Amino acid sequence: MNLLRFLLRRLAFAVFVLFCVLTLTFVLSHLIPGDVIQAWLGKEAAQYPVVAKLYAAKYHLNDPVYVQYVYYLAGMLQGNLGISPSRGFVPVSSVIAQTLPLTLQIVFLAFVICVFLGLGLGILAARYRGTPVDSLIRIFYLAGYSSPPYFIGIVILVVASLYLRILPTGGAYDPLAVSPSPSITGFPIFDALLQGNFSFVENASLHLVLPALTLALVTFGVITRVARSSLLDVMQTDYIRTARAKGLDEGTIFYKHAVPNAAISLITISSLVMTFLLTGSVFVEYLFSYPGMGRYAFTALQGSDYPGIMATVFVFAAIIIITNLVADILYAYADPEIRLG
Amino acid sequence: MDSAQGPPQTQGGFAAALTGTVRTMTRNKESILGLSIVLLFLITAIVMEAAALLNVQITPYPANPLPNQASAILLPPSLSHPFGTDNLGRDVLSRILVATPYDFMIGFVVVGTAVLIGGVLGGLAGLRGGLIDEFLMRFTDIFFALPVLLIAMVVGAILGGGITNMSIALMITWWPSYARLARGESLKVAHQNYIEAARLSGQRPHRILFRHVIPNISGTLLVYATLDIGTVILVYSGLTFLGLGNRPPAPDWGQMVAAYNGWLLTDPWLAIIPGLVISVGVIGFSLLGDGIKDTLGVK
Amino acid sequence: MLELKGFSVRYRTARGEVRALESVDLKINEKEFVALVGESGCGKTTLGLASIGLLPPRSARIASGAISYKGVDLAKLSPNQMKNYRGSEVAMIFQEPLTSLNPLRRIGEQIAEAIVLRIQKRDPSTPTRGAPRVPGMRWKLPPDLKKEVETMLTLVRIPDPAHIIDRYPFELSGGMRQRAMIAMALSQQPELLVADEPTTALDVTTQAQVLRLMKEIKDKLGTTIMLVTHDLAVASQVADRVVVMYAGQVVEDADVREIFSNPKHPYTQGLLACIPTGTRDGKGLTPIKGTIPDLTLKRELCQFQPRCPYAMEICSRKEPKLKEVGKDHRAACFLYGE
Repeated sequence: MNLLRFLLRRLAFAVFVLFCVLTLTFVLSHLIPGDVIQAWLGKEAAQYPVVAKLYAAKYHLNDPVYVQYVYYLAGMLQGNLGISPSRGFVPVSSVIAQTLPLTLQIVFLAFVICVFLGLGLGILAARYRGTPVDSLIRIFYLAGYSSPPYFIGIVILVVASLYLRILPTGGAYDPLAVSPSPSITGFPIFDALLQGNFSFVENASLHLVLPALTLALVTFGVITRVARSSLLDVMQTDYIRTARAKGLDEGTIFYKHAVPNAAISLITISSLVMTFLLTGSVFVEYLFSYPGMGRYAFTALQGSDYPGIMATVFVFAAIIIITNLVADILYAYADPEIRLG
Repeated sequence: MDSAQGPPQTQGGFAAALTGTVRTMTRNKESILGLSIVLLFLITAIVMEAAALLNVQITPYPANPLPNQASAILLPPSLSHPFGTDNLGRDVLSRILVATPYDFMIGFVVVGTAVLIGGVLGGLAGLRGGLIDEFLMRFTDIFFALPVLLIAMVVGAILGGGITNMSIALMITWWPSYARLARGESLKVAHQNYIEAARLSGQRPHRILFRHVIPNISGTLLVYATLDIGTVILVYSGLTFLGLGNRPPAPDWGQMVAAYNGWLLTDPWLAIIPGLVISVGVIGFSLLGDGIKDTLGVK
Repeated sequence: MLELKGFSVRYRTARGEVRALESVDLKINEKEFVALVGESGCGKTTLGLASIGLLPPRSARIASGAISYKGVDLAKLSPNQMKNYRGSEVAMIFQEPLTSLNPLRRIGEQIAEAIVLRIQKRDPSTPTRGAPRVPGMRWKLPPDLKKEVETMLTLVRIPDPAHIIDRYPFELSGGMRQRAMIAMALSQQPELLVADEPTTALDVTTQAQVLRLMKEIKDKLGTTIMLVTHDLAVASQVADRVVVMYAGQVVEDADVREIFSNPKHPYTQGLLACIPTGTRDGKGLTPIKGTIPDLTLKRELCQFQPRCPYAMEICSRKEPKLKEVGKDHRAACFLYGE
C-alpha cells in the first residue's frame, strides 16, 4: 500500500500549495496602494459613502489584518470571492461559474489536439530521425512555441476569415442563429448535447475550433520535443536490444515497446502543458472575443478589478495544481515500481 | 583513480567553455542562423540604446513624431516605409527599432538576475543540505504551481505597468527554476570526495560553491539560460500586449500588436509585422540554445 | 554449425577505427558447449553480437571475412531474413537481466511474445496475441499461451511459475531474472544460444545454479551454446571447449581439459596462473603484467608480445596465425613454429 501513502502525500501537498496561493493572493490584494475600499469597489462606487460603508462592513475591511484574513479564508471556502466592479458588481463567483466552463471547453479541445499532434509528430521525428522529415517537424514546432500565442491567433484569424471565409470568428456561438439550452452541468455544449439541441452543439463547437487550434499550435512543440528525445533514449536501451534479438521487426519494436515506454515520460510534462494552455487562453480568448475566464482576467486587469484578478489567478493556479496531482496519480499507476512498491 | 588528487580539471571553467563552444558551433548550420539572429538583435539594441542616451535619432523617421512630422497614415510596406505606417502616420520600422532595447534586453536582465539569485541560493542549499534544502524545495514547489504570466499580471495590477515593475515581477518568478538546477548539481558535487577534503581543510561554503560547483554546471546553465532568454522575451511581449509595458506613446512590440489589432482585416501588416519580429527573435534564441546543447552534449 | 573465416570487425569511434576482431577463424559444432574467454575488450562480445546479427549498424562494419551459420553467410541476409533468423535459429541472452527486460511489461507477456513469434515464423498468418496495448493494464494471457509460458518457466526451474507470470522484472531476484531471460530465449527453440556474460552480475551461488541450468539445457535439448565470459573458472565448470581470445584474435582453441592441463599459449598460461587457488601457500597472486594494446593501430606484430615472458625477436615483426599444436588443439604463437 505504498501507493496509497504516496498519493496521500501528494494530495496533502497539493492542498498545502493551494492554501499558500490563497494566502498569497490575500497578501497581494492588501498591498494595493491607496485606499483599499476604493481599490476594491472601483473609483466611482467608492464615492457613495453609504455603499462604501456597507461594503466595508460586509468584508470587514476596517478590521485588523489578521481578522480580515480569517474572514477571507472562511469566505473563500464558502465560495465567496467578492464582487466584481468590471462586471457591474455581480459576485465574482458567478462570473467564474459562467466563464470557467467555456475556457475549459477550449483548453480541453486544445489539449486533445496538442497530444495527438505533439505525440504523432514526436513519433514521426524519432522514427525518421536525421531525415528531412525530422528537420521539417523541428522547424514547425520551433516556430510554434517561439511565437506569441496572439501572433499565431492573428495569423489564423486573417487566413481563416479573409482568405478561406470558412469558420466563424468571434464569440462562443452565434446568437442570431442558435441559442443555448438551460444549464445542467454548467458546460454549455454538454448541456445542449444532453438535451438534444444539436444545432447549438454544432455552432458552438465550430466556434471552439479556431481558438483551440491556436492554443494547440503554440503548445504542441513541448510535447513533440520531449516525445522525440524520450523515444530516442528508449531505442538505445538494453531491452530494445533484447527485443531485436528475439527477432521482432523494427516496426513492432518501435510501436509496441518503445512508444509505450516513452509515452509515460509525457505524463510528467502535462502540468507544463496545462500552464501554457491556460496562460495562452488569456490572449486567445481576447483575440477571438470568446467569453471565457481568460478574457475575464484580461478585462479585469484593464479595469483594475482586483477581486476579479485575484479570483482568476487563484482559479488558474488551482487548475494547474489539480492537473499536477492527476498527473502524479497517472504516473504512479503507470510505473509498476511505484504502483507495487 | 586516486580521489585525493582533487577536482576534475574543468579546463578553465566558464570562459573556456564559451570559446570552445563558439568554435565548434560554427560548424552547425542551425546555430549559425540562431547566432546571427541573436547578434543582429543585440547590435540593434545596443545601437538604439546608445542613440537614445545620446538623444540622437538614428531611425529614418522619428518613432513618436509630432502631427506635422508624420507621414500619410496606413501606408502599406514600400521602399520609403519598409514596414508601412500606422494609423497615426508613424513609421512602423522606426517604432520597432526604438522598442528593441527594452523588449530584447529584458531577456538578458531577467535571466541574468535569475541565474545569479537562483544559482547562489540553490547551490548553497544543495551544499548545506538539511533544513535549508527542504525549505528551498518546498518554496520553489509553490512557485512552480503559479504561471508566470498571471503573477506578472497581478504585480502589474498592483504596482502598475512599466518595464521596471515587469522586470521585477519576472525576476521573482524566474529564479526558482535556476535554484532547483543549481541545487541538483551542487548535491551531486557535494558528495564527492574532494569537496569533503575542501571542507575539512576549512574552505568555506561559498568558496566551494564558486570554485567547484559552478564550473561543473556552466554547460547546462548556458543552455537553459539561452533558451530562457527567448522565453522571457516572449512572456514580456505578452505582458505588453496586455497593456502592462511602457506607457504609450513609447512603443513595445507586443503592445503594437494589440494596438493594431483593430486594423487586422484592412491593413494586416500592422499587427503581423511586430509579431513576426518577436517570433524571429525567440526562434533565434531557440536555435542558439539547441546548438549549444548539441555541441556541449548536454541533456 | 557456426563458422567464421578471416572474420574482421571494426568500429568507427571518435578516436579512429577500432579493430575489435581481426581475422578470426573459428568453428562451432552442433551440440557443443563453447566458452569464449578473454578480458574486457578482447572482442568476445563483438563475436557474440555478430553471431546474431546485432552489430550496431551505424558504427560497426565487417572489414573482411565472413561469418556463416549452417553455410549461410549472415552478412548477405536481407533484413527480413535476418529478423527470422534471430530468435528462432540463434538466441542471445545478455549480462544485465534487469535492463535487458522491458520494465513495464510482466514476465509472462515477454515470454509469451517469444512463443507467439515462434508460431508466427512457422505460420506467418498467425495473429499476434499476448500483450495488452497499454502496459500495466490488468489482463490475462489466453490459457493455451499461459500453459506454454509455465512450461518454459518450469524448464528453467523457476519456482511457482503461475505466480511469476504476473510479476514485473524488478520484482524478481537477479538469478530468477536471468532464468526468465533464458526461458524467453529458449521459447523459439533455437539451435544456438549465445550467452554474453550471463552470470557476471550474479553472486557466486546463483552463478553456479545458472551455469548448471545451461549445461542441462545443452544435455536435454541438444542446444549448442556459446558462452562469452571473462572468467576461466566459469568456463571450466560447464564448457566442452574453450576458445581464448586476446585483442580481437583467437589465441588458443582446445578441449576444456586440454586447456587446463596443457595450455600452449603464454596468455592462457598467464590466465590460469591468475586464478586464485584458495590455498594458503604464500605464493600470492600472479597477474599478467602490462595492459591490452591500442586497438586502433595496425598490427604487424604479436599483440601479446609486450606482455609475454617468452617474447622472441620474431614476435615483434610478424603476427602469429592459428595452427595445430596438438590433437584438436590450436594456438597462435611463434613458440610452436612460424
